[in-house]
Amino acid sequence: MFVWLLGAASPFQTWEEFEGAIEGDTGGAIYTFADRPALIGIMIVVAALAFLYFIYASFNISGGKSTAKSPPVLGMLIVAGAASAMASLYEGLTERSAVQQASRTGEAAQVEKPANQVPMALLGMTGLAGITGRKRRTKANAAKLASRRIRLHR
Amino acid sequence: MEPDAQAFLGTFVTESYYYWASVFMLIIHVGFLAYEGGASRAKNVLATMVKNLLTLSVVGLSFYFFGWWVYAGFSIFPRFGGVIGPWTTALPENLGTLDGEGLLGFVATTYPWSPEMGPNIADNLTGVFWFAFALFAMTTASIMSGAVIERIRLGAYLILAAILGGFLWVVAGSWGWNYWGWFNTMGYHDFGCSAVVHGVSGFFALGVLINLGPRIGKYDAQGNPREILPHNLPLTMVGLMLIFVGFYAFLAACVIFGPGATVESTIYGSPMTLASIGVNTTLALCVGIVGAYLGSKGDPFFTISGGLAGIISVGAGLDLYAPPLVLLIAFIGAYTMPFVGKFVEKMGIDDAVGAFAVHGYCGVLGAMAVGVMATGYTVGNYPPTNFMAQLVGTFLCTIVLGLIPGYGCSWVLKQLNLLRVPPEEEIEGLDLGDFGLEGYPEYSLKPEELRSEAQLHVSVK
Repeated sequence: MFVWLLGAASPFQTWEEFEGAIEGDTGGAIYTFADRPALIGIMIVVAALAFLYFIYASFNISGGKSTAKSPPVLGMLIVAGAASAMASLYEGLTERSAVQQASRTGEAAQVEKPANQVPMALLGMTGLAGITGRKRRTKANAAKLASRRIRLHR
Repeated sequence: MEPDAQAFLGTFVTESYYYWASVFMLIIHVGFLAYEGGASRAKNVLATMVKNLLTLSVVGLSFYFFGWWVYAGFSIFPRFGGVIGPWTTALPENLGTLDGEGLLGFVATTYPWSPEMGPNIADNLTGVFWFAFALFAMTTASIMSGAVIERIRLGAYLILAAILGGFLWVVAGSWGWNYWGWFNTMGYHDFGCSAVVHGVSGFFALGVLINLGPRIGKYDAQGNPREILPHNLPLTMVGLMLIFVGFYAFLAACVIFGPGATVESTIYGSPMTLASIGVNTTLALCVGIVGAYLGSKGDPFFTISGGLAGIISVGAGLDLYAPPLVLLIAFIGAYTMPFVGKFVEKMGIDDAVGAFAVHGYCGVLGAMAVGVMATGYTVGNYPPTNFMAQLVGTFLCTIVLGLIPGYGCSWVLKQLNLLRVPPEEEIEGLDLGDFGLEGYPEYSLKPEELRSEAQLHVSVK
């Protein structure tokens, strides 16, 4: 089934190709699917999503009683930050192909605008957290917090 | 020997050197795990140790997904241009005195999808350097982890660890511990990462601690600090001894030796010897313990931390200092470290393992000591080592990349009510709250529970 779907995992057809990988199409890379970078990209995205889910789940998974107060907000935070970073990278890559076309004329080109987008994405993530945090600080929450403090001071 | 075989031997020696140095660096984390597990109370031992285990996972993965690229891509930002990434096709024309040759190629090897990151017979070295740097990254987060034990929420800690270990210290390393880093153009020198690793982490931890607040029962009703003793002192002591062992590997991994090289060098390109690291690190360790013993009037916890304080106090100039100078600087750093720890405690900041005093304070001292005691060393076209370069570099590492982000990120988590476990869970113990288990199920924890109950009557600062 998997072989039918993906083909053989090896990027090489023969021992000679494998042994002489440095001179081959993969430039020395001998890892599985080295000849299919799109597949590598998909696996990275899936692994990154699993990693983000792990961070999210660490607020929820508990052998004892769950005490997380706002996992949905955290989830939004993580997803928004990840989407923002991905968008920045995608735009950067799109921009690169445009520059590569331009540089064929012989002029070295440098792209400055996208360089600022990844840090901006991180800043956006923090900003979003600040906004959502402010919304959660309702009077009811403040009253709850105050009552807890009173209990502890008894 | 065939010329090809001889050339490959050079590659293999480099590959092996960094591989095994990194394996031994893992002992630092064994040490942190034992130290923090021992320093916690019995009701929190399991949660504390699992937190340390997860540090490796979160930081290692963060470093793979983006940290390694940050190290390469931020090296000239913002001094000479933007962040370098897949979108960059040429370097800026003006790089000052920096030699940009090879930088774009290096950046291209740092993406998670880069062919050099996988099994690749055309590149034996990128992977081992990634391995070494990933271990550095895990160390930064482990430095913070001890400070926040017994009350931080696991998820919040993991987010902070990913930010510190996967991004912030990496930016500091990119600027100040990098052949292409723009700090080079000032004459900055930090061989053993006093500010780049320890300063960033110690100050980040301080920023987090301000928002996190002290453990329940740490201060009495009048605000006077009370001792919260380790539940397992021998484990704590062994843990720090293991950290010492790992630190020798950490410092050995700071030495640069590539295939075909005729001399060992620092990351800045200045000549050095591994032997000098052996002598100076050992002297700093020995005199650091003595200094902390005297400075703390024999306090066992400060005394054992003194070895680390001594090494960090001389870390930035370990490759240059005369051994007697190492003795003096390490002694001063370790002797004064307990006073800083006690001052922080008096300020109402509960740093459970003295991470700020040992790593933050001694990190600053170590980086600044180069600006006073090792000035005038010129490397290539860069200015000689000087006080202002150390001052600016240390400020950026500790305040801009440490304290401010640590405070800011933890503040956001605090506003979301995600930073700290509820008081009830803290009193009951994180082992029960997080895992529904006790670290020592065969033993009754009644006295601890009773003491915790008593603490309910004490104000929560």
